[in-house]
Amino acid sequence: MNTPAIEVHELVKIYPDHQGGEGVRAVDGVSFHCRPGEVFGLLGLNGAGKTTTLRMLSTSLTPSSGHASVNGFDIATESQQVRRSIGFLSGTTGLYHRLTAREMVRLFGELQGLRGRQLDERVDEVFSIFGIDRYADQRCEKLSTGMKQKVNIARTVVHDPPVLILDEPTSGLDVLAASTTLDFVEQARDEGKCVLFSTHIMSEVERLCDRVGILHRGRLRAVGTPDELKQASGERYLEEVFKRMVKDDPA
Amino acid sequence: MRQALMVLRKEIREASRDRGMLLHLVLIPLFLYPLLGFGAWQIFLLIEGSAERRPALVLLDASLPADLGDSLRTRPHLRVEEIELEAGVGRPREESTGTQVREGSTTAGIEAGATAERLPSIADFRHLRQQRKEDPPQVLLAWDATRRRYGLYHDSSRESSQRARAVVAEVVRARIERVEEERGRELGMSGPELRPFVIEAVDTASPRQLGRYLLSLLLPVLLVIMLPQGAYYATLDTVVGERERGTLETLITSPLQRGEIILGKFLFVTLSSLVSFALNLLSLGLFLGFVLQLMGIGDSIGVQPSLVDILVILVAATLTAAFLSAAMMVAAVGSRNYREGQTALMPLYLLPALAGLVIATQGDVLSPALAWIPVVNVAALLREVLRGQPQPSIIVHSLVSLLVFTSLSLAIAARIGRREEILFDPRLPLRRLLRWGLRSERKP
Repeated sequence: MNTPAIEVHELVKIYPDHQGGEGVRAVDGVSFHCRPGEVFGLLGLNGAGKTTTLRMLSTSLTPSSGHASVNGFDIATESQQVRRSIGFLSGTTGLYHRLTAREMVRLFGELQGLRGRQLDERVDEVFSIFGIDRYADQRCEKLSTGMKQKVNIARTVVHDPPVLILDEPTSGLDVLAASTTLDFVEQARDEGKCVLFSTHIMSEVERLCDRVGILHRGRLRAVGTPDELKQASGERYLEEVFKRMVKDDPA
Repeated sequence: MRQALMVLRKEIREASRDRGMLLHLVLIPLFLYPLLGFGAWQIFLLIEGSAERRPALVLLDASLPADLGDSLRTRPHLRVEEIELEAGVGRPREESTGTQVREGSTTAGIEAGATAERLPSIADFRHLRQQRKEDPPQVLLAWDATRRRYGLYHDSSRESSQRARAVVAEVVRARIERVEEERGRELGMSGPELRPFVIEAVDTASPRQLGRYLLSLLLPVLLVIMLPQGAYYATLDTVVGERERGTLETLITSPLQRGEIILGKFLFVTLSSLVSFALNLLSLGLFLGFVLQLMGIGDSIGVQPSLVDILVILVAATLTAAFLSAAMMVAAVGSRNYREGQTALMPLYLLPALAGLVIATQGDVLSPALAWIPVVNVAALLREVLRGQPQPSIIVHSLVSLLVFTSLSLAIAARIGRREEILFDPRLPLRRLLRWGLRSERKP
């Protein structure tokens, strides 16, 4: 078995209230791991703690307790190395509208340490992979939603990271743009990357995820392959498994 | 530092493609003075044009010598009419009269004069204007033969009346001088005998000194107005805009450290502030040079600053821009949208300008205490250096003050910027921001 690319152990995130006291326990002792060549889906309702978990793993947020590592780097003490190892994409990671698609991708390639010919070749390569060569010199503000998503994905993978963290990446996208994103996830898995993927869309989970963690009110209720979860609960569809888990814990 | 420069390059590239930024950082500073000058010139032409369309009516006391009327009639934009003052006006009054010019020597006038007032009153002149509502007289020139006085009546609230008064006064003065010379010749006097005392005003300032004085008046004001303007729009775009457009999360998930992001943005805001100021300075210099040449006094005022002046201006502007940029970043870093950003930045935009304007219009006020107040100290310091009155200890205090406050502001901005709440917390009261900025806490 491969060494996990993401290891999460008893991760907790508490948002303080405005007086500085304990406000919301958004993530409450979450543990899981994800291996290279695997798509791990975090499934949960809005407010379940998916985004907070992914933001902690991308080092945007600091855990209140627990620990986690990404590509062997500790998220608390080696945050810069963690960010060099990941490609992070979410519905809230916007593009610089006044830059062209090429400038946008080049900028993030440079920030990831690519230089000169290596950078040029890699930018050309990702533009070719996502079929956006023709739009490379257009400003991001003039691109269609689908094209913007492709540029955003190109920006995410320009440095060829071993780990991808995707937070509801199809949220707000039309069918074609969403399909582009899902194709990209499948391709990344085939290339041996570790993909951590959050969503609340069951069809995406069924299509992509090798293993699933169901997150509810900050706690991980179940982890396993979709088939294992269905078997354990006796349900035919993953959606039914999910509904049962959420209903069983109405608090 | 290399990473911070990448952020700076990105910001410059973005700013160069934003019309609003180009307008505020380049076009307004560059074309402000030519446009203001052009506007003022057009208004001047309009006033002159309307004045020329209708020559000013000058009423002349019929008892005045005919040659005076003849001289006035040769002047452009004047219409001269004679008036008999005995019937309606010219009777003795208690009210004071308007401008009075005596003919002949003062002694002769008093000796020859009677005790009664013989000039029209102010009310008489107003009455005359009321009588001729359609075409009111702008000036009345009356003559008091008893006390040998001219009475020159005008209305200073009207441009046309002021202009006509100036012309009439000039003609009257010329006539007085001519009469004095004729009388002097009759008495066998000439030169020093005729005018025993002459005051000759001598301006010892060199053209360069005059130029430095002019710069000492203009530059401090320019500095405290244009530096905040450049920093204001750049901060709004690069700090508040990054958050509002949803690109901040994209940036912080890259390997950049938060401090590098803050530093890159700080460099951009400072650079924008300086560019705005430099373009404004260039525009002012060219415009001033043009206006001085137009007025024919271009050679008597040397507005070209020396190398030392340029160095002083450069250091003062850079330090002030750095301080304002850091302070504005502290104010803006917690704003979620442009509206909040504008509200947070407005005091920092207006206060330096107001304080600087007050200082620039006061006398020598740069005390050691004032030298510790950022922006105000630079405005006063710049003025004193350009006037050649620098006090080394106060210069040092001012520069150290700017460095201290800039470092402090930047450290506070970096501390606040490192907080994860900046990204994700929808409510960020100023009190919390300041607490984060001033207290030493564990880096999240």
